[in-house]
Amino acid sequence: MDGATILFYLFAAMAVGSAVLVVTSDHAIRCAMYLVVTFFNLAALYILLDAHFLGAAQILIYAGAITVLILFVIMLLDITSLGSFSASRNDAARAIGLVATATLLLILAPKIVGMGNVGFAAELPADFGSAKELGVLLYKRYLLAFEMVAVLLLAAVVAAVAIAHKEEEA
Amino acid sequence: MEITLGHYLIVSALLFCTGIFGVVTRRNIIMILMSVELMLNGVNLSFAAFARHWGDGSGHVMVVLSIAVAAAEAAVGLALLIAIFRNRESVNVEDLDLLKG
Amino acid sequence: MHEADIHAQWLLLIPLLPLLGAMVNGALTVTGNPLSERNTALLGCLTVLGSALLSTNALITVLSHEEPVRLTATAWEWIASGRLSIPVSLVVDRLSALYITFICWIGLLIHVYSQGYMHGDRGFSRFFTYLNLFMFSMLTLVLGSSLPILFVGWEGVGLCSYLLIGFWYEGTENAKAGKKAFVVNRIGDFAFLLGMFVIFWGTWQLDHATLEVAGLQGQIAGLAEQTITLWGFSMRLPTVAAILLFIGACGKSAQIPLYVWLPDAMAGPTPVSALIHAATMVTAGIYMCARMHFLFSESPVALTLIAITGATTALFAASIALVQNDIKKVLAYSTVSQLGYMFMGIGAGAYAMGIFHVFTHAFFKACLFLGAGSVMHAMSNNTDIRLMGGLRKHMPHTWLTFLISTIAIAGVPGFSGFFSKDEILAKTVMNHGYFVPPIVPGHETLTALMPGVLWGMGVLAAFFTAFYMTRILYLTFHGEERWVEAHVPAEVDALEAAKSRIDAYGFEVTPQQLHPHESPVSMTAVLWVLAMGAIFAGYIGLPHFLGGHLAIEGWLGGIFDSAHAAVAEHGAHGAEAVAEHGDTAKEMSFAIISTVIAFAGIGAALFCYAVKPGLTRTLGDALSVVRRVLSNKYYIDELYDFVFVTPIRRFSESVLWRVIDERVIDGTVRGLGTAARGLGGVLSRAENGIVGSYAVGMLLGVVFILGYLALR
Repeated sequence: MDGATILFYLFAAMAVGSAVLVVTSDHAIRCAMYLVVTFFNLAALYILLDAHFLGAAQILIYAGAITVLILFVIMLLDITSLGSFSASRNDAARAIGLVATATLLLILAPKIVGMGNVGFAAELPADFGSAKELGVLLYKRYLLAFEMVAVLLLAAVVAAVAIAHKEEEA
Repeated sequence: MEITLGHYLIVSALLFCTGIFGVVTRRNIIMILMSVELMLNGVNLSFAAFARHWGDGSGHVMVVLSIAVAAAEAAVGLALLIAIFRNRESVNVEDLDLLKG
Repeated sequence: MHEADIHAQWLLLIPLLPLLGAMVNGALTVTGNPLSERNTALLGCLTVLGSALLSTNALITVLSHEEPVRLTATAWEWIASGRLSIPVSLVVDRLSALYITFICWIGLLIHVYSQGYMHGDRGFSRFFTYLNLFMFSMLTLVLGSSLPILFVGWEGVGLCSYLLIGFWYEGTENAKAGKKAFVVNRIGDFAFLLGMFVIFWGTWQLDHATLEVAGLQGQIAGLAEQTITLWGFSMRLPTVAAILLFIGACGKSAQIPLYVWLPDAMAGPTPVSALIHAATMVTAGIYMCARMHFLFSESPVALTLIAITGATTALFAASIALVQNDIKKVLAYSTVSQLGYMFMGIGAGAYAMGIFHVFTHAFFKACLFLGAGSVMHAMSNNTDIRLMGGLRKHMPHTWLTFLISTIAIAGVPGFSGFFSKDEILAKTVMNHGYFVPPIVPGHETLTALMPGVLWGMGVLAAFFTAFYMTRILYLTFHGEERWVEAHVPAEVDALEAAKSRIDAYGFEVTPQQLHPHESPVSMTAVLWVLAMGAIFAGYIGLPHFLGGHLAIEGWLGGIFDSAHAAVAEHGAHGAEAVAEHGDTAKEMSFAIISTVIAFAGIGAALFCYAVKPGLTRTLGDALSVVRRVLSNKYYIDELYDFVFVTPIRRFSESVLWRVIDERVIDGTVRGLGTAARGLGGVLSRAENGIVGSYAVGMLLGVVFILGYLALR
């Protein structure tokens, strides 16, 4: 049981635990905080996977930008009444949710376990997971996708501004 | 015990299913959005695991693009939420039934 | 037998011309734009004239050959299914040549008559449309080369009969009469269809010529050993087929038990009665039996049945006609009775004689009906002979032609009816080999007696025929007038006189104010032509002992050779079964008996009505039960109503309508609607408008798909 293994289990448990807390918590801010915890643990897992740039990007974008965005909206709209977990949509929805989730897990788990002891690649390229390698891939092999996502971001920004824009009082 | 690909995939599946549970169950739109982010993160983790498995950086590329799309979607979704809140004074998803019929 | 087949495509025009006339007149009528009366009649008559000329041409062509030949024409392949191949094709041989010729010419005469009779009627062009349609159907029936084509014409004449009987459809009684005719015909048609199926089942053929050849080559005879077994009772195939076909003929040709529609059919216009119910449609049954002679000859059982039915019907109908007071009803029952004679001829195996009687009967019966129409025309559509009398002075042409036809139908020598009727009666006895009692073997006395019994029935019916025809002749045209002139203010004396004459006979009616006049030339000319036919048409069958050669039998006989051969084989008395021609003394004695009976009937009628007017009333009072039974037509209509009509109608109303139609069928249809709406209501709950639930739905879908893919 080496360090990497212990760290993996630690971070994985914290990530899943806080994820569950996200979906079951009553309080809005607390949900957002649990979400941040999940993001941080996920970033740690990325680093364990030698995806260094990814880990950094995860913290920067998810924990930094998206969470802040969500918190802004929560506070802007002053959402006090969220309803408790027991008053979630209705019992039928809760039941369906549990069933669907369980089903999905039951479908996926055997498949995954049935894969057996599939390890990771023994040899890695030199700059695996670095910004350099990512840059090369983005600008060479996946240029089209990169450009399209850029346009998508532009469109999203414009759309967000347009939708949320308040009508000027005449 | 060595950590295999399967371990990471199980974590990813758990995160994903948790997100599904949140989407189905919660009444508040913001909670639903947060659950969607959870789902996306679960998928991102599996991408990264596979990238490590194959030793191919393409998995990282997919993660980056996925993060970008998630950010865009979160932005637009929250903008919509603000617009709805201004019109209806409610963020309860059950109150949005204009499509009824 | 039919070696020479001449191809004659122009035959197709014979039925097509009237069809064309019907379509043109019909289209114009339906669109509300009929031609003028003159042009409508012109179109109708010209098409029939064309057919008549072509038919005559066919007749001459067939006449000019020594052996029997056939003219054929084929249009297209109608049914081609497996072993069955029915082309639309027409065939003319001696039998059908004779038939189409007199159908067309008498039809033409009646078309001409109708122009005068139906003048001013609102449905004038509709009438001519139906008449032409009828000619088409009848010609198709006669000319068809196979049973299905014949059946097409068979159904067509039934339809036209319905349309024409109920021509004045505003009157409920007329519509009911039309309906009755159609329904009763339908019963016969059903039997006819079954007969066709049986024939096909046994021989895989339905074409006349092929069936006949098969019969000749003994194929039918071989198949004749095939039996059909129903509920333990088995009969030979030809017998079953023949009896079924005969039941169809009973419906069409008004024999017992399916004759009840014909007297009611008098509700139609008189030209219709003359054409359809005297000369042509009702003879379709006899034509069919003659056509299928080879089949009937294979089954002595069927022939016996036909002969018995014919004789019984002849006597039965004649007895009813004795007491009827409606001139058209008397003629209707007379037609039923004469048809019985024709079937007697068929049943005795004297096919040619049956056809001969069809031919002569067409002339004098059509003349009688048209004469009655002329009388009705003059008497403001009155048909009660009790209110007539003395019309001879006012309508000389009508009277003379009616007189001639009456003498003909009574069977007075020298006129056509004598020759045909006498031959039938004679052959009934002389062709004695044809009667084989099927059910009671070993009863030789029955076999020996049956021809005599049937002959006796025929003779009695002939006596009745002479009697009732003379009765209506006398009461209509002779004697003192039992009506009063209309345009003269009714004087009390004249009324009193008329009343006393009515009372002399014991009639219970009141005199009417009428204005009789002779009919226009378009009607009387036709009457004269038919009357001439009534006299001279019989000479083609001049029997041997009078120096003639019985030409018609020899001529038609070529067709019926196979029948005679078969009978010779099957007849109980073997070689003796062949008709005896040469015995002049026997023929002479039959002729004398027929003459005596005719004159006896005429004399008796004259005695009862001219010499001693009160005699019939006294007799009637004495035999009041008999009079009541006969007047009410043996209560047969009431019997049918009680046994068949009322139960069926009650069943239809209470069960079929209320339960099955309203509850089951309507319920099912409405139930489907309710179910659809219910299902829709349930399903529409998923459309609650809540986007979140739609997301749930999508998620669930994904889960299912993943599950399916994973577990595959």
